[in-house]
Amino acid sequence: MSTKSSHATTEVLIKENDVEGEALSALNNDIEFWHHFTNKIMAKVENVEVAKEARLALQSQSYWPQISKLKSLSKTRD
Amino acid sequence: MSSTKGVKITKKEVRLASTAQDSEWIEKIRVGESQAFSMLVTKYQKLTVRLAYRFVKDIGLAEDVAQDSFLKAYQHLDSFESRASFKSWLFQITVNTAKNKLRDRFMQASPIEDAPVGVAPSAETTLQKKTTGKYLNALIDQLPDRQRTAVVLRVYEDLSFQEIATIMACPYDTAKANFRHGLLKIKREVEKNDTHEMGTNNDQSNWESAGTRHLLEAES
Repeated sequence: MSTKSSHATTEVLIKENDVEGEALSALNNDIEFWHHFTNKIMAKVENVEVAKEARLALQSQSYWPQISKLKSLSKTRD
Repeated sequence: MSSTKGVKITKKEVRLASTAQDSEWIEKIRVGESQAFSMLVTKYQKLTVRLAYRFVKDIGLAEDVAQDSFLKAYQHLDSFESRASFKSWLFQITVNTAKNKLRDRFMQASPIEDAPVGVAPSAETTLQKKTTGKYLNALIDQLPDRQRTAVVLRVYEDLSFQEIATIMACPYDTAKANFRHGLLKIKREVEKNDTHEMGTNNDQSNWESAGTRHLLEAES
């Protein structure tokens, strides 16, 4: 028997006894699960976007006004 | 009059069409339409959870891995080359995330010696299939990391060697060699157990029933 067909036979044996695949097939039809799954990811994506916008807003603020503000705060305290 | 009868669409054409569709969505995301990402999630979520499950063996953990992988893909979309396959890229992230998750949790696969062997001599039953399936899974889990990855991607996910090579970040021939070596090891283990069973039990039906009958029949 050639090595190639030997590999094919072993592959078929594994596929025919794929008990995990059967369990996963049941999950495939669980519409609720997948709907929930998509929503969870999209909520996380939204959070990433909000954080990105906040970071950009911070970066766009001028550096010097922040420093002068800190200095004036410091003087007030003194 | 045109007819679609006899027109065959090749796997390659399907793959190209799918990649083109993905690229369209990715472009939309890149210009700020983050909602377009839901199209990619819907398209690949089942495959991604399935793939993660093959490595972590727990549906809750597989879901976490898939969620993390999608999020990583979204966050690093700028580094994704549009000409490449999004599916392969996402699978690469998923496999790496699953392996890291396993490492973090110090999860250990059960050793080969613990795997159930020598099942009852009867016709193919659900129980027997489960036993054989678990036994083969244990053998796959015991393979060296890269061989195991190649076997899982090829046998369970039916990916091409080119896709496997992309996911494993290795040359085509290396992916193929890892798959072949892995499969050969499994075959040898199955045969070794057959021999062992033969030596300890004279009832021939006993050693033939461990799922290896398929192998013996095909090779005779």
